[in-house]
Amino acid sequence: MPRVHVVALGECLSGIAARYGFADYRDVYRHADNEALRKSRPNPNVLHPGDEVVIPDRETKEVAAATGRSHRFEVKVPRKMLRLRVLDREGNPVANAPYELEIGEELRSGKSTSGDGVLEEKIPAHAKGASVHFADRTLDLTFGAINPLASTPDDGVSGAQSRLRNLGYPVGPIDGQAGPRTRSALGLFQQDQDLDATCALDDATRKKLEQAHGS
Amino acid sequence: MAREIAHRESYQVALVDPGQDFRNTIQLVGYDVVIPLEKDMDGDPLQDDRVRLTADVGSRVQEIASSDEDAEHDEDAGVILYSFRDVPPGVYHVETLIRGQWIRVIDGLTVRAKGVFMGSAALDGRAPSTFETGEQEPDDDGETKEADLEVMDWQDQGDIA
Repeated sequence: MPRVHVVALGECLSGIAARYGFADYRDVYRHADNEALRKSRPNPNVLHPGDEVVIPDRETKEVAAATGRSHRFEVKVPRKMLRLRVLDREGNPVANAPYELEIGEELRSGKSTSGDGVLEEKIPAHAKGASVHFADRTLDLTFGAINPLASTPDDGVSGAQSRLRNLGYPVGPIDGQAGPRTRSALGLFQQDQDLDATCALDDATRKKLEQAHGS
Repeated sequence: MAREIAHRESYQVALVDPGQDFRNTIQLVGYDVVIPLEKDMDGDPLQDDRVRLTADVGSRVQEIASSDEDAEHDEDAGVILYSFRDVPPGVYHVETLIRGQWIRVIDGLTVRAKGVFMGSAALDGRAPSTFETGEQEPDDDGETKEADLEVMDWQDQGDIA
């Protein structure tokens, strides 16, 4: 019988699926009972705490195997990607910049951003975060903690705060509260995007934030 | 790669699936804001002038003394150019210490990726005459130009304790 999982802070669908024994999160996300989830969360990598994910029953598969021998089974797990676009102070891409990526004990060296300032890396599905080391700065990244911009109990405020911070607008703590710092950051962002500087998170601002951030 | 890291910052990002168009954008920020102010505002040439840039919301404060290396003296113009480093976008005010009291001399200083603005006017590092003069001329429609720029006549500050 299907169960319902309530998403906690920092959880992503891959991790939830793995917890219930699904190697491929798409078996969960694409299940008919998750139609409402797919509608409200078109990006399965951006969930909100409190979202409900229906966990379908697992299908069993029988395989004939001889006794007295060892058998190797392979499970195909979909890959995850980190796609990051890095801009300098003027908003220009940080192009062809050497970096190292540190994920847990693993250190990947000899990489550079593309001409568009983009770095793309395959990431283990279970990874919670990574660090990107440039020559003069380190970006500590937390995966799965960015919230949606709409259809959330805080009306997308925490999602807006994360994106504003990534885009260089100081918002203070990411707490889902539209306090003075968040409103000030929203106003600056709106000015930069030639929107009415209402300092409020409206639909036009959500759209521009999504475009500017890329997710 | 050497690990002499000048900056370390934390961000929340989303992973993507192969084939998805989603990405995360991170803009590195921290601008140099140069504030020109009249020299010896406190009327005491023996004391260091001290100026601070404070965020209108939040707790960010940077302070520079006139003897610091970030204070460039322009003797001909009689001004000091105070360079505040690594300032993130936001709305700030500038204060100077006069006789033990921080006096606000500039309001509504907005730091953005597109520049530093007072109202709609970009601050280009020169000392605008409006820093030292009194009233601003109203627009034809009666609105004050550069409404966010607070202008002070320093001769009027003599009674500050």
